[in-house]
Amino acid sequence: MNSRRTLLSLIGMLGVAVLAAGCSAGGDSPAGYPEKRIDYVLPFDPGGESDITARLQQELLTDILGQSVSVSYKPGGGGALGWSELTRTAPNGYTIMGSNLPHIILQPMLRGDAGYATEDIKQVYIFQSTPNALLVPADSDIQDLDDFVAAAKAKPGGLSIGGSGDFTANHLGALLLGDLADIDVTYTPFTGTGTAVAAILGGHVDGLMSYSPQVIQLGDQVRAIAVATDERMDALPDVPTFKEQGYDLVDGAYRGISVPTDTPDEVVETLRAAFEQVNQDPGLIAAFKEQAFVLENYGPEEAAELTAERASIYEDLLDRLGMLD
Amino acid sequence: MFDLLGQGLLANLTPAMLLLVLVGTLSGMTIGAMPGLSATMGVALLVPFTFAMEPTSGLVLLGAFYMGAIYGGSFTAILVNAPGTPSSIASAFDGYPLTKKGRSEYAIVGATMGSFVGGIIGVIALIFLAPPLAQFSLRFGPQEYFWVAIFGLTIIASLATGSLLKGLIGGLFGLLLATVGIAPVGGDVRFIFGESTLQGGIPLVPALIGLFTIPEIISLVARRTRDATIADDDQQKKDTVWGMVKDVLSRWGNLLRSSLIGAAVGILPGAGGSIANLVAYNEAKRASKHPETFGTGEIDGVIASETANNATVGGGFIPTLTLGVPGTPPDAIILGVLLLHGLRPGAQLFETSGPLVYTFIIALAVAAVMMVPVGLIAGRGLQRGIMALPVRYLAPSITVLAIVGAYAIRNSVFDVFIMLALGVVAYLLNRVGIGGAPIVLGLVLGTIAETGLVQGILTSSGEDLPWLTFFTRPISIVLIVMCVVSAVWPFVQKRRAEARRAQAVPAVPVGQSERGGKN
Amino acid sequence: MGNIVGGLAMLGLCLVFWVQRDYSSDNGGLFPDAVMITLAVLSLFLVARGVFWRTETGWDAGERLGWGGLARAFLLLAAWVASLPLLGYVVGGIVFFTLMALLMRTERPTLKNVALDLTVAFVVVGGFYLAFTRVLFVNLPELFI
Repeated sequence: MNSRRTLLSLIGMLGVAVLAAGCSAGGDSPAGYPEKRIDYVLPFDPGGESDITARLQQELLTDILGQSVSVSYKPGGGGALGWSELTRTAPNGYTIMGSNLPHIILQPMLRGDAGYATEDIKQVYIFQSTPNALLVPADSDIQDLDDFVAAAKAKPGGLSIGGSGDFTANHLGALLLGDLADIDVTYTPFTGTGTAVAAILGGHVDGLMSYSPQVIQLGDQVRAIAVATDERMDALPDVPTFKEQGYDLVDGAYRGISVPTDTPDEVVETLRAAFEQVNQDPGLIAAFKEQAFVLENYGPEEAAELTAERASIYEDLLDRLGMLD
Repeated sequence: MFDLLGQGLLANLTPAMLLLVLVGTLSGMTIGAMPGLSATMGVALLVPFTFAMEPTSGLVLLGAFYMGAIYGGSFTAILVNAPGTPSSIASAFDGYPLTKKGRSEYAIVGATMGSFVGGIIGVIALIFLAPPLAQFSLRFGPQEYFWVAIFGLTIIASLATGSLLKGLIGGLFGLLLATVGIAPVGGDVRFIFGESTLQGGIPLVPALIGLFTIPEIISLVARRTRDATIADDDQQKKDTVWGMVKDVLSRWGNLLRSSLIGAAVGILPGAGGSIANLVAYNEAKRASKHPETFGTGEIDGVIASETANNATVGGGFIPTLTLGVPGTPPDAIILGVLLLHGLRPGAQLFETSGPLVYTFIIALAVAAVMMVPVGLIAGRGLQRGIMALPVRYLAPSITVLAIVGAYAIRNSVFDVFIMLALGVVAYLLNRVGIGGAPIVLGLVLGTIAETGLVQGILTSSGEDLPWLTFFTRPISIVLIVMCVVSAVWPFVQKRRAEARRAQAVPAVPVGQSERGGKN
Repeated sequence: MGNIVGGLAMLGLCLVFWVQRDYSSDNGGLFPDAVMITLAVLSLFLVARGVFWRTETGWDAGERLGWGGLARAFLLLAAWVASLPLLGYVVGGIVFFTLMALLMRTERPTLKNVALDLTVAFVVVGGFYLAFTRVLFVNLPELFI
């Protein structure tokens, strides 16, 4: 009996001690933000384009914000798990999360319950994009987009285009191309850029809708027949755009960071300014160009506009294709 | 090439470089031994530190860390039945029974020497065979991945020689668990029980901990062997470490076979260590003269699994460095680092940046060599420490490890719930004779099988009968034959053993092998 | 009996999955449906085996643990895990570590035992906490009031 009471009182004392420690560690006032380490969470596995970008930014952010920034990962559901978690996170700016377009538009649009709504996520900054690029194997007969369209028309539904994931920029790029060129191609999603690339190198798919960095990474193993930008990319001067070949396809994956919607304006502004400054670093600009990443500068309002614009394009397309319930 | 190899070797023998490899290997082992901190996560955590270094040192550190992490996963698999990484699943099948028998030191030595040999052979394959093997690996398309997964599933037949029916049911249960969440191809939201968190599916690492470790904790807590420590017979026996090392190295057939399996599976992008260790385990059992001892504490099982997973390290770098296609998940991160330093993978990488590439490759081999002394000292130290711990502290310590491990992989309390729920289910299923091992097998292979199946149908949609492509492609046919042999072999083996027993002494108790594969 | 229980449990599981079937893509149901049907058929076999083959117990031949011990283990683990969102990792960890260690003692715990177990709990739980939050930057669940 005696020992049990001792045990209970010991536990009680311990509880009080931890409580006290917990309280003193608090203090999330927006005025002095940031006062402690910031967690930069990526809702994907390590190693992808988002990860590479975050790694380039990490040190610069630490210098600008005066607090350490640690990168961690919360993969699952194509990012949905992380973003639904973000809506339940304390809105104090100490957890910031990578967010991608079109993912945060399409997941809530197409899944019954993605765990979050597009409006629940406040995009602070969009700093980078990777345009879609259409690749074919180097030994393919297809030389340009016209050949591709002709091949697809000769064999409706028989031409297979690989890409990374379902309802990603790659997938929508394939759907948009099919819509614009009035061709029927079969899109096959792979579990990531890496496995998709292996499929085209092995000739298991006829073409690959991928992102611009792959054109550089794969070199002469593939032929890039079109890139989905307004004008030719600096990093890829020899690759023609879809536009100059007659198809108005400008699309890609946009990457930025987001916070919960209730985050104080001061905090959002501090973060926006920090990411804007990061984007002006000459080292980062050079590294982006090297990877064929496109530098983007969208603040909160511009990001919301872009999101609304893309959302209406996708909704219209998917509605016409009968993919919305 | 040999000039460059020599230069690479010399570069690695400077004290600074040796120290770097040692630090990488040691920290890799530590992270790898923690369930929940996979090699992938550890490598990712290390990346920012390498930015401060020059490219060669940074890559060497990452490579050594990766090699160490894959090896470190064996410690917890052997000592507390909690595979530290998915690459060490099969190490627990026999490693933990060895620990229960008081032979954990033997198991650790087996894992160490196996990892060493596997690591070295994987690197040799990387040096001499990279371009042709990489080209061959590309011929594996969706159909072939489907058959690779089916081949993996045939292991159930040998894991569950007790009751094949129950083994198959366990495997199918695992496959069904694998279908929870977003469909890998098509993006359907399936079987989420109204819980949006389940979109991400049943996470593998928490499931592993739940299925393997929780039943052990339950039985430790429920059993009343309270103050006792786990037996440690190796201490009383006169087996010296050197004796054990020689014993392990004398099993060269197993070492060589498992290394080749590991290197081959590592080359296939998307497969990796989590499959290699299972396949190697199965092949070791099939080749064994006494397959019935597998699952009850057979050192060959531990050796096979650990040899194969370290061989995937070198194997996985083959497509990574020659094609720019990562062979295993940690390779994806290392590929990212290469790109950040402006190094483009491809055949020209070996020419333009030869010194860097070969220094990196040789560093992998040096890390494999260093695992031997480090493993024999630190690994056995850890083993002594755990064995000396009274069970009443061991059980709650393992629980802490399990909780942290399940949580850390995605920073999610929900994953800890999944771990416990699956653990309780696994305990109950154990009671009706359905073991955890086939369930894990199904869970690991389900996504690969489904992805291959549906992708194969989609990519061949130009054919009249897309299904037919699964049976007409040459590599697929080879794989189908392998599947059939693997599924039938355990019965042939059993029949032979019975025939032999009947010839010799008829009075052998029946049912000796019934317990095989129970975990 | 073991075969019947196991088979019925699996059939129940198939049913739980089957009622949730709702696929949005052409091939999304191919694999899960095949798995569910096969699993259901095999489970029926297992039940049939239990019914017609009474000599086989169907239970695992391993050690049997007492109901009291099992109940204690289940409750301890369930309470520990369930308390995570509330007590957090540190407090919950120390409380349940100590409790588990004490309950696994055969003799009645003395004050000294309690203090010892509490100290061990403090060291193990605290050690993991520091390693994860300070070295690896993994945030563990915090105390929530």
